[in-house]
Amino acid sequence: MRSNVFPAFQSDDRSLAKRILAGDEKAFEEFFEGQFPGLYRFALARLRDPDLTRDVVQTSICKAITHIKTYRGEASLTAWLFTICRYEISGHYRKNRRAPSPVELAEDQPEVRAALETAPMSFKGPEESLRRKELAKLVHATLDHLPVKYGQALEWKYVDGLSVKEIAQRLDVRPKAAESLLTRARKAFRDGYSSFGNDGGGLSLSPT
Amino acid sequence: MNAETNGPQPIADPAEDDTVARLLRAAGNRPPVPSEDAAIVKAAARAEWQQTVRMERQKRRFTRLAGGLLAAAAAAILVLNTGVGDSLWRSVAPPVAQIATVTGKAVTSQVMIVEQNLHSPGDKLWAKDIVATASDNDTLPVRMVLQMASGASVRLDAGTRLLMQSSSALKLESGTVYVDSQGAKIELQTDWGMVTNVGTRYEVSVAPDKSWLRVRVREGAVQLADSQAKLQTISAGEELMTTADEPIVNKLSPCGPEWQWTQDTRLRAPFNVEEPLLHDALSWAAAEGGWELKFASRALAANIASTTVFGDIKDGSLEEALQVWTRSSNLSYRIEECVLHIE
Repeated sequence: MRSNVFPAFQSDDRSLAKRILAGDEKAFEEFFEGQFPGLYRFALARLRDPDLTRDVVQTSICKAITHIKTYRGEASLTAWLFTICRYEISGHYRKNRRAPSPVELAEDQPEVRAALETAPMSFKGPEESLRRKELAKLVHATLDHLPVKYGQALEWKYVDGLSVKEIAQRLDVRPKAAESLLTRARKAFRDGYSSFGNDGGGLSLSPT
Repeated sequence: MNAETNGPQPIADPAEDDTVARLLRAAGNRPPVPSEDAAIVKAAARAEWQQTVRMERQKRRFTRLAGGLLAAAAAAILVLNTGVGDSLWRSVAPPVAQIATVTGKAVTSQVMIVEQNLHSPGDKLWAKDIVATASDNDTLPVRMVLQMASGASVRLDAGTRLLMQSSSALKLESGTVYVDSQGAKIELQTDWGMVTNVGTRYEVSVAPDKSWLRVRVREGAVQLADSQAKLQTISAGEELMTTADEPIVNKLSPCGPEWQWTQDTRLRAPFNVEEPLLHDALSWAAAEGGWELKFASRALAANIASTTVFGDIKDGSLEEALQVWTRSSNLSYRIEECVLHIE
């Protein structure tokens, strides 16, 4: 579904994995600082217990590091890490011999998505406020599933209001490369947003 | 703020881009994650990473050796034994630490060189150097302070043997060290596992016969990762004792007699700031003494923040320093249950 949305980043991710294995401190920092927040939010939304979330995320990251040599770049590093985390979460429930609590995630509920898709972009009143929160969860979950730099670039541009030039400086690339990255990031976001909670069905992001 | 200065963007469908923009703006920034959890997980991830890198390097080294480089390795050992390799290494690699203080006679040696050198303050240490302090002696215990290139300070008690690995990694073979991390990451490898700090002051001891490991945490927290990568967190005010049986965690006073050796005037962290502020001076004393600093009122705390202190406290005890500083500022102090009250 999203296997080929970010080939350029898979190449970067392979390079990052090699640098991590070679003992490059900057690579470790980039990996941890980039991946931890998204992974934490992902696990917290499913476990709803901060202490347990910390343990599960710690185990997931440690396992990823131990097996970083086996990362082949077939998916983004983020996707690979999320898969490990999903296994850890399932393993936790298996070990405790209980089914996961019914966690209602915006990204997993087609009806929430349908309501959000038709929602106006100005939110007034308590119902709209709730809708806004659900929308925010869905958008944030989508961003967290993107390669780290895609999520950062989109947030910097559309939420923080940075210019392409400023984003280029933060990413340490030329403005043209930053523009190109933003284009890919937008496409990845659209694809990711469409794939959440849908059984492969596409979502039309029609302007309201 | 959002002005584009770098030409038109290559957007296939401007309407879709507009929707993406509005969705993101409506959602706002992603919520931050708890920094304490991030620090704990990062410390564990770093320990795991360094262990993975070490194992990978060992594998590579083994492969190279198995590839028929035994002759070259033998030649390298010969060079090292003559000291030529060692000199060459020291001329190109940065030192990992510097000896700040030595009480009595301490020796260092290189892993592959039998000869031992007496050491004194100012001497630099490189990776693979071993620092050893002689066993306790009634008249003058041999202790040492190392200033790590990473910024951390490490105090060695008598009877300690420590292998330098890098500016942030040490191997405690036996004896006791007290680490004042100063915000730097220090990994202390022992036969019992890896002790990693999360911004803290702590002490690690390994028995001479390596039959036990003890970790005492005065401030912050440390993590011990054993050989099976099982992690145990030890928090401030706790002492972990690991033997062949199950590890035991006991409560520990942050200002008890266990820490006394670290407060030797020759070992403690220097406080030689020009025209220091009283607040900094009191904070330093509180950190060294393991006390929590409390002021009688907010007004007093605010006033102290801009008061300069005078008086040389270099050779005095912490309490003598507190007397000098508080009296010269018309204040008083008392210490009760590990709290330093300023009134």
